[in-house]
Amino acid sequence: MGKIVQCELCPNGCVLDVNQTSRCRTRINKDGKLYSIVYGKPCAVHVDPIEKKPFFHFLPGTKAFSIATAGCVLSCKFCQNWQISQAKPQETDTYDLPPDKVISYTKTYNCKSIAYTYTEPTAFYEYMFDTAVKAKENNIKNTMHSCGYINEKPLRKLCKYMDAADIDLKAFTEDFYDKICNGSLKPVLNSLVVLKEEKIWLEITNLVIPTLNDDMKKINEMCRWIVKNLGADVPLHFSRFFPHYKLTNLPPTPVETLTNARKTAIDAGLKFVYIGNVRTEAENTYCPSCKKILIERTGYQIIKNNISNGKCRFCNAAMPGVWS
Amino acid sequence: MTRREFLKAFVFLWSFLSLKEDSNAEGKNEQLHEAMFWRRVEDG
Ligand SMILES: [Zn+2]
Repeated sequence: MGKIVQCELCPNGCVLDVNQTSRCRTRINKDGKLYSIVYGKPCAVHVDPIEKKPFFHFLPGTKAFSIATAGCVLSCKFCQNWQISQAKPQETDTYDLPPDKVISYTKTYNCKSIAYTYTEPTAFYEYMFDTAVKAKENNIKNTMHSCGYINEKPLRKLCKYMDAADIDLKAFTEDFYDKICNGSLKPVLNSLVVLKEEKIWLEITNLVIPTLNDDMKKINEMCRWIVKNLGADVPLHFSRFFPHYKLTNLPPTPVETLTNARKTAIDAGLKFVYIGNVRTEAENTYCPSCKKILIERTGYQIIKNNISNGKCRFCNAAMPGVWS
Repeated sequence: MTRREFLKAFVFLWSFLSLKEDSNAEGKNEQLHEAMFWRRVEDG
């Protein structure tokens, strides 16, 4: 046996010689052993409304203690957090925040949950995992916003401690994942199915980018796949694109495109379809049975919540989600 | 903003600011923690 190692965390499967760093920039081969260099060293720490993740059916109106380290397993040309996701950990300012401290801050700031977010939590898997274990012991919920680009074994191990996941389904073609994200679609679809099987509360975000993934035929195909494989209750968030990073040549998504996408998704059978990054009434949750507004929102703020004990206050229909 | 709210916000900010490290010094972030999910590869 030599000193070359292969990382088995994500589908990139980086093979690393001594002193080489993984594609996600957070893992290094030191003398034939693989190490994480971001453990307990987040570069972003905030207290956010859970709605910002976005989670619309998970403890609405509560705060999430949110952390991220530098690094990502993908390199999307439209990344909104590219300054940290595409940075080397050494290039960022970090906090010294081991799992124990995350737990104590989560309590201090009265957060119901911890969110592993902003960049890609798979890139700080060990830190997330140990924190999640401690959180569960302390009755704190764990949530993540992830691209779902992770191998099945580590994902299933994490699922024992994770309560909710918001997965970016960035497009429904291999071509998009290949050319725009430097990854592939299939592992993401597999992760979605695994999360469903493991009974993790799941929401999906799809950033609609003009000309790149705004074909309604493909959006329809994606939504039908979701209904068939994950169920009609999975909330889907269509998010508005703004020019960022390497895609500054494209305009912001027209609101009409987002409205069309939402209609397409509802026609495909999805019951909870939202539009994010723009103020419309598609920020509200509507009861699929009586059609009344169940949760009225403005941005990340809850104006009114008509769900009690997980049921519609008007017609008593059960609402999918985690409400308490 | 009440005095209490102001104090809360101040404590909040202060605790974060005092956490922030001057960590741009080269190599300082390379605190190693053994990774999960990896394997040795045969040479050649
Ligand atoms: Zn109802």
